Amino acid sequence: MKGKFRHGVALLAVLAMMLGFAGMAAAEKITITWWINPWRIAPPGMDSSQAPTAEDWPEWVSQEFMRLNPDVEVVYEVVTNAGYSEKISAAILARRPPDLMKDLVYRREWAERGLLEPIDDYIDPEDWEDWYDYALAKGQVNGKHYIFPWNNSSNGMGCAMLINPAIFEARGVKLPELPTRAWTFDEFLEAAKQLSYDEDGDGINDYYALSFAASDLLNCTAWLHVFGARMFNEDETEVIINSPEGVAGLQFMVDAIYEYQIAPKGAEGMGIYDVIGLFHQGRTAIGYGGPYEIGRIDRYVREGQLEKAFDVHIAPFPHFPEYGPVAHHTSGGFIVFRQSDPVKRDKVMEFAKFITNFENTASLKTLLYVTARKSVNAVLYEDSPFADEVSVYTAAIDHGVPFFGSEEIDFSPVNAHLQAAFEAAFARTKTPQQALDDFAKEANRILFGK
Amino acid sequence: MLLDDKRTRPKHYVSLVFLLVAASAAIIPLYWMLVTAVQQPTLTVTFPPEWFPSKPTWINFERFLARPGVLRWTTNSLFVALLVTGIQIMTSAMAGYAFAKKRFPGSNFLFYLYIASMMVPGQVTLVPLFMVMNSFGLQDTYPGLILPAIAGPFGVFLMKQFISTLPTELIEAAIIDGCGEVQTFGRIILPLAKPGLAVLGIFTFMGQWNEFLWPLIITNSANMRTLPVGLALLQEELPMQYGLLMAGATYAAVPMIVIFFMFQRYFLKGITVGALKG
Amino acid sequence: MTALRELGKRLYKGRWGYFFILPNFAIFTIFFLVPVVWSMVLSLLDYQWWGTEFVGLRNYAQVFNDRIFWKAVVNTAYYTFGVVPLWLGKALLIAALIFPFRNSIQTFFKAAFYLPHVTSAVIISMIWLWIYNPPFGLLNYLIRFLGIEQVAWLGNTRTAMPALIFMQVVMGGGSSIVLLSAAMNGIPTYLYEAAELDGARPAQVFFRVTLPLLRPTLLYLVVTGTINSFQVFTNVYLMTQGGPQFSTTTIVYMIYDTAFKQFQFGPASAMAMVLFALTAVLALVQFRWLGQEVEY
Repeated sequence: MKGKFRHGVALLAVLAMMLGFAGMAAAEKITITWWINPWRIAPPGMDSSQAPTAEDWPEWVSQEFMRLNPDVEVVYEVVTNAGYSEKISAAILARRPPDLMKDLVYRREWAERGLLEPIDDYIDPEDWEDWYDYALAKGQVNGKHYIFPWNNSSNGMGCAMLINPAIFEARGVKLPELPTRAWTFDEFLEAAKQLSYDEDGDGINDYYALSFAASDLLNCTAWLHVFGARMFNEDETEVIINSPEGVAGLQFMVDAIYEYQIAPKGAEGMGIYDVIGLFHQGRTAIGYGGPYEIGRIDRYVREGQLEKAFDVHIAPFPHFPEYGPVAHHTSGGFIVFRQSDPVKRDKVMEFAKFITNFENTASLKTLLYVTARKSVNAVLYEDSPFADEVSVYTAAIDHGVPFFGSEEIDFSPVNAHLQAAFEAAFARTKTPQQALDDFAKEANRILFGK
Repeated sequence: MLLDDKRTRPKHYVSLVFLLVAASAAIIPLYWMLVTAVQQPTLTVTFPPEWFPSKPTWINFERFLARPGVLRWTTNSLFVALLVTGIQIMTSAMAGYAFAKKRFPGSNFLFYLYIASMMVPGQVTLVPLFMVMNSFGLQDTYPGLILPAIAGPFGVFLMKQFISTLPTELIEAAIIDGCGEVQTFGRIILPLAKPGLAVLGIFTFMGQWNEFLWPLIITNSANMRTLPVGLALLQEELPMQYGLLMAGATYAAVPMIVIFFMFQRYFLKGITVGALKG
Repeated sequence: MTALRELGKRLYKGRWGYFFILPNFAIFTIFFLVPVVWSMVLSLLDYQWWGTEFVGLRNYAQVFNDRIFWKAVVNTAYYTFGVVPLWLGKALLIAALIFPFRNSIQTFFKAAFYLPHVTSAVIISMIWLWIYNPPFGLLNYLIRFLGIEQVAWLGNTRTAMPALIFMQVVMGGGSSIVLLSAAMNGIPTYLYEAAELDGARPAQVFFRVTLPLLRPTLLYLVVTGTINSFQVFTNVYLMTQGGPQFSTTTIVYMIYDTAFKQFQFGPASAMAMVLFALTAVLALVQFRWLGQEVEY
């Protein structure tokens, strides 16, 4: 042990010195630090048989930018989703945040308190037009903008549904039709009943139309919206999800499990990956998500994880004629932390613009991700076999609203309470009315102090 | 011949059966990990798992080892965990010895300070610790990874408890024989405390080897990543790729098993205090 | 003056104690104690990156007024009083059962019970999520033979916490078995021989000789086991995220949520101090109960 110890100390000293020299060499350039969570984007020119790692694209973008700006040194860091929040908290409180960061964690408060740089002065006129309004709105605080939009977020959860046409055909169920695949709730329910069946004859269904998971707040909330419910009143001063519409929506989900038996029991204990898994295994005919989820299936097949490829269509959530189509609106992008040196600020902004320009936003194509730019979405999948699905999806999110209030509401303190309401209803320990009443009461207390 | 003494009683077979059942419940997750790691990737998303792989394969391991960075993560983790374990054992044994066998003003107070400090969860000390490390300029360095782990209170508490069971007369005898304090510690206490040191060594190594959050927070460059951080990254790059994930976890388990067997021989019957005395 | 000289004398006499403690204590102070004290101070502050404001006991008032926090206190106690006796009982039983066997068998079992510790928590949680999975899980598959309808083990407010406790008891205990065996093998054999000569039955030997001599080890296990259970986080985070309906929300899970999801470090630290106080009271009792020195 002793020998090893001495060795270790010597090694430490050498390493510390090396790090010191490395730091000195880099000091002459403008160093930009950039954090991003894992995105497995294949950079242009990458051999398509190779599976990209989360490092490949940030590495490529950084190199490209440094090639165009020889005076800049970009130091990127891929930070895992797990621990991202802890890492940025520690960094902010120690006053050492990165210069540029993916908004995986984003607090409106940061902008309000001047921790972030407003980006308005750096945005070109045509970009204002090109980014979706909802994408720009997400980073809007007191009339200024703080997020460079990049992706349409949440993998399409709460935005659209996935359907497995093979199961529809096998069960003799009519598929919703292009161009938008819009279907009414009655059409959906009729289809769902035919899609659920008992194979082994034990009286319990083995295959279901769809599934719910209490912790999957996006899709569960989408179902409440199908029935015309809204989380907040017009001026966002009160939670009103316990309206008759909301209760009807939750009642439908409970009935879907126990009455119609079109969804498996246990929704109170399941998570989003259970829902995805059931769809992948063909246990459910309907899943959730956008084109990204098709991309996921495609990758799983290529990587040998899913036995065989299957066709997936995208369809909007079903709608009642009186309420119209529903979808969730959200997006993601990059934020710039406060800069003291104006020269460096310009460079960081330039880098952020570079990452979110047309070409680099279009990199999201390799993940079949829909982007925050209209121009990119318009042409990106033209030549793709999934062009129809992408246009169904973009048509669906045209009806989108933010489910959890505008960017001015911080919904996160009540997430757990909303989940608790779904859990209670799915487990039938509370009626849908009770569950949503209790949630609304708690949420109004926490969010609005009443 | 299962037993130490010559009388093999039937009830020992009863307890053997009981132990086997209890142990298998504990081993199932590990077995499942191994089985999934050598299965064809396609089979691994199905539950319940296939308990006996029909077509075992190394493909998951090959893919895991082909991920750039694995070697670097492993070296970092080994370096950090071994250094932490070595220093932790040494300093904890010294402090534990002082608390167990030395009388000095404030010893009780200091000891309870150690105990009390364990009661504040790491979730709230994380940010202050990060700020301390920052003020020393230690982010993204090996000392930044190592220093916070080498003087944990659990080690001191464990060593104090262990050394307090060693007979005090042995120490007194050594002093009378003219041994210095340092010699007494090195020649009498350390050899007698070997089982305790071995247990602490195993615990420390495992704790350090599995540590995820601190290395994630204190390091920035890909070169400084440790294995758990690398594995988490891999898992997020490829969610639901259970085969690969299990191959990675199996790979990560190997050094821990090696350490366990390296240290465990120190706490077998026959080379402990009892034997020395008897 | 004489008092001062007296003190100086005592300090001098204890110099070797300080000498042996110093290396550990120095590092411990900087990297452990300072952050701990810091977080105590944080509980009295509104601590944000843009500035810090002293708010007195306001964070505590906020925490005490939170219905969920009290629920978390009860849940944490439930978990601890469920896990600690069962887990320690299991460890003692198994350590006692393997004790008579020869070394290789002992090693085999110690390794077997220790192995869950080399498997990461993520993987253990994956298999237990499958065991508890409502439609396809092992447990529901087994109870179907008993004619019981399927239960959403982790989705039901009455079963979720017992499910977490059961998992911890089945998976845990490996390190305590290792430690207890090491301590048992360290008990001088002549004590056993003396007891047997006196005609004591094996159970009597265990309770009269083994257990009392294990007291220092037991104290360590009870205290650290209680502290660890009071700070249960990983299993909650991986298995239930505090649900359903907050029935598995523990104090540390709530601290994590408050600090790193809602960025409220003051209230999170205040919760930690309440946890600290609760743990300290329990530890004090445990030290009283098991803390006497062992005499051979």
